[in-house]
Amino acid sequence: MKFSINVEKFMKSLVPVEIIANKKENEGYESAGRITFDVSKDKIVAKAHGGTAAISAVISNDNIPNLNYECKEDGVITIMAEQFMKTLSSFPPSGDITIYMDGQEITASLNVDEDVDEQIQTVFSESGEIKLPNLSSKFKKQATINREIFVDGMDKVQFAMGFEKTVAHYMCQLFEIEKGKARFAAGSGARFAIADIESKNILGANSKQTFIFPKANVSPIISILKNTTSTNITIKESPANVDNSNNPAQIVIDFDEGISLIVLAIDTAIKYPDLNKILEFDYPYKVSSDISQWKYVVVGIEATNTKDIKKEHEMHNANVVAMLDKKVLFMETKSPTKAKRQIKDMKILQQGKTKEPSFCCNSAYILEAYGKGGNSGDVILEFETKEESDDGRVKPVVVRFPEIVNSSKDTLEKFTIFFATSNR
Amino acid sequence: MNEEKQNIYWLKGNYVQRNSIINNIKKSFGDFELFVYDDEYNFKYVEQKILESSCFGNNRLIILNNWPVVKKAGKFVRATDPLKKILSSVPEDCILILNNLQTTSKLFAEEVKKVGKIKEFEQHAQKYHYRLKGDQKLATVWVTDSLKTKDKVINTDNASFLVDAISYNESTVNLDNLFLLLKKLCEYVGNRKKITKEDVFVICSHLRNFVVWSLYDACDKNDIDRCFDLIENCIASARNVGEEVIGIVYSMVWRYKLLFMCKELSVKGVAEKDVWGKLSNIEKLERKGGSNFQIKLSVGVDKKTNVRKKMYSRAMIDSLFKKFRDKDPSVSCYNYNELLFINLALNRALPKIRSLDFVRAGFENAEIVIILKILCMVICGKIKNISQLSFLQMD
Repeated sequence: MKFSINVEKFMKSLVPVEIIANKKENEGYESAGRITFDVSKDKIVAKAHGGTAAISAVISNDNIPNLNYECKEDGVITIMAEQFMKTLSSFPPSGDITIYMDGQEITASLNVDEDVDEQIQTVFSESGEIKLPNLSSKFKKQATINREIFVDGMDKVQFAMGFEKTVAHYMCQLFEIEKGKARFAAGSGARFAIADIESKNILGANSKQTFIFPKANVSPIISILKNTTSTNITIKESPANVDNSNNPAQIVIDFDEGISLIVLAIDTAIKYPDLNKILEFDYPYKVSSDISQWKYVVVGIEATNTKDIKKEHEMHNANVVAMLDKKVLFMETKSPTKAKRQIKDMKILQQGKTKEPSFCCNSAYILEAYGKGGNSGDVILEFETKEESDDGRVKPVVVRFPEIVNSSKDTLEKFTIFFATSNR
Repeated sequence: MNEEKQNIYWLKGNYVQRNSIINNIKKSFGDFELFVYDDEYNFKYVEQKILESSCFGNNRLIILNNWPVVKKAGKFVRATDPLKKILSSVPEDCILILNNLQTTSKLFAEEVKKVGKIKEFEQHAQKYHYRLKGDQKLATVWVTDSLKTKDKVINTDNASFLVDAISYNESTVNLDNLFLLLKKLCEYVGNRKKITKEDVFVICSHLRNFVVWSLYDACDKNDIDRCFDLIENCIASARNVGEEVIGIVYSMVWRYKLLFMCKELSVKGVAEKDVWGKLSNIEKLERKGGSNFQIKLSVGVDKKTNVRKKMYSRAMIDSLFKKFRDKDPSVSCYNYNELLFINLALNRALPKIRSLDFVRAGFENAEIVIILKILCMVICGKIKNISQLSFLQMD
């Protein structure tokens, strides 16, 4: 095995592969931390498999300009990703290097003129070639979306994903797409975040498609796609082939030319709850206020959530009262230090029978409502009281943020959070 | 109890029956969100989860496998009182299961009775008919019943073997241990319906209690081959051979001393029914004190009942005088001189084995195993001359 290649281009093409090889969820998986290079005359295929995701990247002069790839001898090698990337970064990015096997070692040698002393770095080769699961040939779902829109949407709601292992169906992120529209959503059961994006750059598919990404893969997907150049990505899903154990259920994301990211460990049985049941509900109370007025109130609430409370994982609740007569949104915390704060100039969009409707909730949700929804424009709060609820089960509080129009990306974004109230 | 509000269950006792109730609740609950907490969680967090409804109006099943904790005077302690205070506020969409939580607080139990149900299952089953109370089941009946639910059949003798294997010398058996052993037995026999004596022996052969108990059985029958087999089985799976052998020899010393005393009383003309009366005066001594130079022996006292512990129980003594399965009563398996010789050999061997184990630090145990086998030869009547035991003399 022997080939020469440009350092900078080679490193850049390996970034997605390295992310999959080294993602933190890989611990204990047999091929964790390793990359296999299948070197042939016209291309290198770099492969990594982290257990819950795998990737195959074609690296060749055809899809990467100025790669200067030249194969002198075919072969297959496996290396430790971290050490190999460090080795590559020890050479000037603009230079070309020759990589070859020398016994059990792999040598990277800077290509220099004959009269200049040789500069080399060696790494050990690893045993065992990384085998990827079979890529499905037939997919039940398929959709295309602008890469930046997808990355922004996934990134926007990622914070809300569930974390308790007993509610595994919330340890995932929802992606719904149809022509011109995409929805990204995540939640823990008690609090959900939803980003609805409209754009003509969302090509979508003929019908509405739903994909559910497992939590373990959301961060790597975002990191990988942030660092690529494709305008669009294609997302495909296929169920497991029951006749072939090497053909598991998978979501495949195709991007750049020749790179396929295979998302594994997906649970096709998960049915994400119907978010529209909450988002389209006509709440008796709808009030709005300028989000910029929330700033000092939220800082005050946060100030009562002391380090000790956080350290001991105690809960910190806030009472929120809409004083309709005074047009004031009153927020209060009592545990154990107190904050009594008011957001003035509240606008009443809809009102029920109670003069001072209120709810109690985890104060962290109030902080998130401020921190995640931008810093200008009117934020709308929708809620109901126990007395006015249908079956005594109070629906969650919905916080709708101002719509954001991004003319450069040609998108219209609606961001919403809803969270459960506490029965205190 | 308030019939309208039964969304709190306090389950106590053996695992299998608790788990069965939890599974029934899950089945009857339909769609639900499950949360499981224990002493790793702060009570305030658990409280929030209990009081916070699901966004989609789903039911919630919250299982507490241990007490959540609260901080009091700088230390984390069980949140018994705070939990008691919120029991009446548990929302209707939430079923709260207190899974085997232990407390002596009567106030807590009273509060649970007011707002929920307490289901208490047995943790131990009695081994003897004459100790049963009320609706209690005999341990062997637990075995046959449990296997019946798995479509398997076992006879009473083999069920009794299983029970004895994990509770030798005890009048009760821990049901959790018994169910685990049954699970292992079912895994072993697979789809086969009838469970044989051989199945039970294979499953139990590595358990020390089973080895000791079977070893006595074999010794009483002078079956030296079976003795050797049992010893090999025992050491093959022992984590520390020296410790295992010393444990067996201590048990032998205890048993043959008792047999000798019973024989001595019989020789003196004491009737079988009066033997317990004579031996029940012997109290169990326990070590107290930290270092070797400060160890004191004093009579052990049961912490729960505050009664002074006895060296031998009535059940133990009775078992020596009873015919068991195809074996004569143990007392009639040996004559006076044989028991005297056995006790002499055992009492010489014990310090020798202990010193060997100490010196070898567990690295070489062949000599210890050989001594155990020689002791079996003595008990089975194969060695009858004291001069053959001269090697047991301490240097």
